[in-house]
Amino acid sequence: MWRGKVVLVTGAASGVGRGVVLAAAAAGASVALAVRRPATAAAVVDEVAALHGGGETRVVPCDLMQPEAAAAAVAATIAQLGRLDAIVHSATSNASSQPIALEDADLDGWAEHRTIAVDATVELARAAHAALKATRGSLLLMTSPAGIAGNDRLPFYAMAKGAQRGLVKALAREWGPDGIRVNALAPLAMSPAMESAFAAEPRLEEAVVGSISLGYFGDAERDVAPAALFLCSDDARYVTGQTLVVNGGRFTSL
Amino acid sequence: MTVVAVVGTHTPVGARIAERLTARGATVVDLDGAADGPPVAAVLHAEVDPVLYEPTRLADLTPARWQALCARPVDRALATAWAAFELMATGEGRSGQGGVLGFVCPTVAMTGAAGQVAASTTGEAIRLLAKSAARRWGRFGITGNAFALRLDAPSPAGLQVHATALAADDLDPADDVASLLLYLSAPGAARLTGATFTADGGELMTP
Repeated sequence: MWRGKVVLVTGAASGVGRGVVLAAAAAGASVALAVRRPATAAAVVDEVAALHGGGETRVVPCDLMQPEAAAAAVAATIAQLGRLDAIVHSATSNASSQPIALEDADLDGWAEHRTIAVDATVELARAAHAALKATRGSLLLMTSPAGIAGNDRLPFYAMAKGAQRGLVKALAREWGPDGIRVNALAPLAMSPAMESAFAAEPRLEEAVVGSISLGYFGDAERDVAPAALFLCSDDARYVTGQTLVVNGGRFTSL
Repeated sequence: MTVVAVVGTHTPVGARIAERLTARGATVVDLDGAADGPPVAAVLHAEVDPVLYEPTRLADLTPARWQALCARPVDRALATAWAAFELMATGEGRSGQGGVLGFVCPTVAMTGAAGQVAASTTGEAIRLLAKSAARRWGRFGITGNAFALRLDAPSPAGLQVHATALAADDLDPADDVASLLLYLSAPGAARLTGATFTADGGELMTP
């Protein structure tokens, strides 16, 4: 299904982004890894090379805090790999998992979250529309249950992820006639930031795992990426404007 | 006497809600300067610029227009939230007496619509600000809620398919919002927080 197709993944060097890169490559897709620091993608590129039957990879420098960076990443992907079938926007602010008290926060803190999660999505979408229309492709945003239920210690992260869900619904309705699907996926998967948090506070990990119905923390490659690929694939050709929560049953309210 | 600070009385929606609050016996004040007056029971962010809801396709959302339609309104909502905290937060070293923080949001934030990417994105960012503030500031005596109104032009076909007769009528929800805000400001509503109250005549009937 993915052979001959091209996927652009932001935040591709680690976490969910890395998982999606590996899953897409294993399925035969060619993948553009959009990362802020190209050296960080080297390990993932090596992992893809070790797969049998994977497509090509390209590392595309992309600092989403810079204007025009998202559009440039889309253009580079199309120029180097010939087409674009899906974008998976997984990149988040470095402050995503850093707790803050809303009353002590400021607009600068919000601006970083908004720039990467929201403004960059708009730029990616505007730049990619023609190419995605040509392939009847897909845009997938990585959001969070925090963007549904709010969060007391990650308010800006919750706002950014909520904003992405609103964007998904509106853009799905607008792009449906063009054959482009737009969805969101709210994952729970171990990441370097979470590992650091749990190392600092072991009881936190126990508390979080205790609230997961399936009893374990998700793996980006094995548990989240397949769902992401599904949403971007023809198997989900009638699914658009939705948020799929992939977190082991930790969050079950609408 | 219930004192309510309303942000956005220069917009049609904000002005109408302020008018209905006054008609219901509340004293409406500007947020700026509210600290110098009697204790505020509620702060309502009802700054809804009609231009946000004019259909605009993504291709026409230039960076400058995006900043005007999304970044600035959310920044303004955050500013209201912080000012409300200073006014109403209880606890050691704080002078507030608790209260309600409310945000008017468009129902299109929850549904999406073609030409409404800016409104949907902005609306959801603000609605999640309300929820996150509710989670964090409950310990300071502040509840946070959203009031969802239909602010973009309804689709006649959509209304015909499943909305109630009330939704199809051109009813003014401002009085509903005013009435509900005053109720939420009363002692018996202290656990109503983090909710989105939809005043659209039953068009959506969210789950």
